[in-house]
Amino acid sequence: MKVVAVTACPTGVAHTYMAQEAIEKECRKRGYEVKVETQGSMGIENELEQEEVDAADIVILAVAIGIDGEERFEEKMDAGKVLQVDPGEVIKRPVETIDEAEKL
Amino acid sequence: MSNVAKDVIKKEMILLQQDAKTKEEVLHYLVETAAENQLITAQQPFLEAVLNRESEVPTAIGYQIAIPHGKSSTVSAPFIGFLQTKEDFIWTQGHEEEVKLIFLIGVPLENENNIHLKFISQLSKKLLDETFRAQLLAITDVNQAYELLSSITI
Repeated sequence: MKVVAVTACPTGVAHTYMAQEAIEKECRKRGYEVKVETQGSMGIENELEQEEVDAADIVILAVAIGIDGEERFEEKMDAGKVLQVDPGEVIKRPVETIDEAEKL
Repeated sequence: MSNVAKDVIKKEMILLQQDAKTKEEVLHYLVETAAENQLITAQQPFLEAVLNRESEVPTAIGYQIAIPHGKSSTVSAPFIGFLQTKEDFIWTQGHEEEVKLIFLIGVPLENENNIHLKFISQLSKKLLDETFRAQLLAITDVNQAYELLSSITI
């Protein structure tokens, strides 16, 4: 299973990175390949290339604000493979979030 | 201990075994302490920034932790304050989340020094580590808490 995700929150100092950690941790536990792009106060890090998005089985957008480069996920959205979730929710309930994403 | 940790966490900003039982009490005390230690230039505008952020979405993140934060021109350099209470209390009335470990994060409007923000993000990530949380809950000595928090590597 290949998972890609973007995390972003209004201030971009804590939630963005905690959500990243929560997603990475849970995916690794399940043996999934995972890459999480963060859009926070330190700018865009770990940026996802279009090819990486295309190759993913699941996309998780754990974002509470508008993000840069959303068009990268259009195809996946049309295919119903994008889970949109609040960053806080991912931090609190990583297991349930990944479960939900798997069902897509 | 890295210089970055020293910049971001001051021993004076570690407040353990506190009796506070409301968000207001906790924030008031942390903000007051931040001002006493010259981390902010004025209390009121910073407190308002923090409370505004809280009113968007409360910052209790589960795991008995809240991470209130404010971005404000009153902040000279990014900092973290840590307050641990004796008892769990409800962070925001009307929400179920109870907290015991509160991390107040202050960042300037303009972020010039990413290395400080990097430290804050690393510390935030570390809060998802169960062992680290257990240590923070059990700790009663300021020096030990300081060592623990500043052991984070970026």
